[in-house]
Amino acid sequence: MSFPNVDFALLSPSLIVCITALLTMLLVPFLGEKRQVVVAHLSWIGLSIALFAVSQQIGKNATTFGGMFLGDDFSQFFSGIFIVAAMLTIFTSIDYLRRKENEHGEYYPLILFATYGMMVMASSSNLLVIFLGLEIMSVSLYVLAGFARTELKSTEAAIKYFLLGAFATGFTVFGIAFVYGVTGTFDVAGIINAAFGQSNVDTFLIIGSALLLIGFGFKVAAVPFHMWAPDAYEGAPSPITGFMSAGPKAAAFAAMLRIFSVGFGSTVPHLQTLFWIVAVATMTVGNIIALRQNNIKRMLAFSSIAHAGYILIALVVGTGEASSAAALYLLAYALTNLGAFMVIALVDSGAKHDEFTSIDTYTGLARKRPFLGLALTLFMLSLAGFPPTAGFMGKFVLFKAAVSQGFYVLIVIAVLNSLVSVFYYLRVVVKMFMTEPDGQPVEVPAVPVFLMVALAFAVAAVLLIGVYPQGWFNFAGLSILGAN
Amino acid sequence: MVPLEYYLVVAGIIFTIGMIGVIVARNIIIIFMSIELMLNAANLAMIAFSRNLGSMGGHVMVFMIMTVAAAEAAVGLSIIIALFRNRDSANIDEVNLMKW
Amino acid sequence: MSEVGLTSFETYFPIFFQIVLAIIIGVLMFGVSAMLGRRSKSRVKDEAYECGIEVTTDTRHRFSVKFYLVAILFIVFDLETVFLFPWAVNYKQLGLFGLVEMVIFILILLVGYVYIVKKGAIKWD
Repeated sequence: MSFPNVDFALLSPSLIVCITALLTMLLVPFLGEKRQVVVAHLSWIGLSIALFAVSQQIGKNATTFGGMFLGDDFSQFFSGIFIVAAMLTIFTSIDYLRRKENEHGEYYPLILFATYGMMVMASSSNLLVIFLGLEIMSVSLYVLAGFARTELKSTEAAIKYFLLGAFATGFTVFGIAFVYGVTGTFDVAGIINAAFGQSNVDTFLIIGSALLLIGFGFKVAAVPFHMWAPDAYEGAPSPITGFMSAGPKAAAFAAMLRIFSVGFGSTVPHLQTLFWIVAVATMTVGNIIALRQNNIKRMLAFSSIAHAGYILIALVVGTGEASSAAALYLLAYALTNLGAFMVIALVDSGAKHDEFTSIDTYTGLARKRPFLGLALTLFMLSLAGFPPTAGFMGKFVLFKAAVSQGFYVLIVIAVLNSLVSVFYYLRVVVKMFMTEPDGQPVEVPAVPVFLMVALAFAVAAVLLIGVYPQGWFNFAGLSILGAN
Repeated sequence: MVPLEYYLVVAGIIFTIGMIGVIVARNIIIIFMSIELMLNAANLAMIAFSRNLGSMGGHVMVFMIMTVAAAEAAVGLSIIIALFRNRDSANIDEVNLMKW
Repeated sequence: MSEVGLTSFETYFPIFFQIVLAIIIGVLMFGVSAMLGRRSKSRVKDEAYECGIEVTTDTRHRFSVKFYLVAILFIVFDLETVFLFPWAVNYKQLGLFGLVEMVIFILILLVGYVYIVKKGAIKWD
């Protein structure tokens, strides 16, 4: 047997991320305790090379490794989201870790490994490879969630995230077994072909896709599998919470869009009903519980559950337009949430433990630090879906795609939900601008250089997508055409 | 030859035992073992299907699941040790700083 | 399949036979020793048997966390050999390609190993 023809250019983005992760990991024990920050810089340099590699692969739409690895625009779009999310997280973390006196270099390779896993997830339509990517991502994230290992809350977050994540893995694997058993292949295209041949609904296929749905439902924190999310988000270090809400969510949805957007033949009507119920339950429960949260990280955790509900609409609709709308939504949500968590991480890093995560901490913040206040306000408006922000554009295209297919009831529920969500997002804004702090106001550290760059980028991106969405939407649209 | 259904029934039973274990057990280690049981049930189903179909795909998947489970076990046990050091207990009911 | 033409009873008869035989032997050995043996109780006899070495502490002894660390590392590296096995079986067919793949695989593991050693995770004191 000769060497198989592997298209290394197509693999280059994920290979660069993986190799950077391995090398930086190797470097960590060789650096002294004082110089761990070198790892952070190497990591973001590696990521920017990977981002460049991604930009070189746009429009190629090829496969390699016998069709197991797809390098289409869909995967490049999502790889871009993951890499940017990882870079912004690293920029946020450098100062955060120093202030929390938890400067261990392993943090950055772990982020890179998680990013690599997400890229693998988005770059395959083979259930085996998707599973591997999912696990590379999850295992790294379990460790990251518990990275502040002396903090009770952080270890608690890690254990809850881990136990429920592993529980979900069990469902995913069992589901894959059934789907494989019926169709004899792990490849989604092959599965769809095999499933379309059958006129009657195959019980095993229903069981399999339901189990897969449960597994992925855990990963995107869809109701009723959302219970881990608030705890994991609250306990994890703030930059990681931002990363968890941006990257893994987008990765899980990328895989779900690949697997479910076409559907497995005769199971489609059943799954559509299921998705409808899950989407409505997810957005409603997320928004209503978010109303009574006092911890800002926990509030954003429930908000992230609600957003997962909105994105699930794309899976109910199931058209190519809806899928590209979901891709745009995920991009907008990732940038907005990362931006919000930059401010949260900065405020949080004012204290050694996690005293500064309650919403009351933000009382009068905008009066003392107008720019920070304005930035957080912009992100909150974007999350609530006000124009001219990215969040509005995401919601707009998504709801439009659903309305064009006649899902009126669903969209009415979604719009009502967005109205409810305005209350808790604006509560933070009101606290920042209109309330006078009673007693000593919280000391917020000065904005370090890297965080400044990241924050400026996030603000610009959120505004840019909100003002000029066409370019992004065309890219997201192209990416879906490539996927199907 | 043992029919496919028998294997699937056994796999289903093992999976259910694992699932109930996760929900009922209070000790984190036991919960963790129950999760491994679920994964192994999936492995059994995968192998049974693979043999029934006469394809090797399922075998490859089982290899992957086994190693992934090992990696997960390593990370999981480390997290449990970190938790134990902080709290001196491996009881899931005591891990309750955060609720609602 | 090799068992063509056999009913399921014929297929399973050897196993059934073996189980019965095992039960008979077990019952026989315990029964005979219970009937014929003499019994004497002493403190030494109640102690746990540890291959003839004198017992130092009771069984519920807390081990150093180092043991867990080594055990955890063992699980990971041990199971990675699973991937070596199919390669070894198909060594001839895979040829140079397989060898290169495996070298890369081992190199990745080696990165992990160097990290562990350098971190001092397997230092004993």
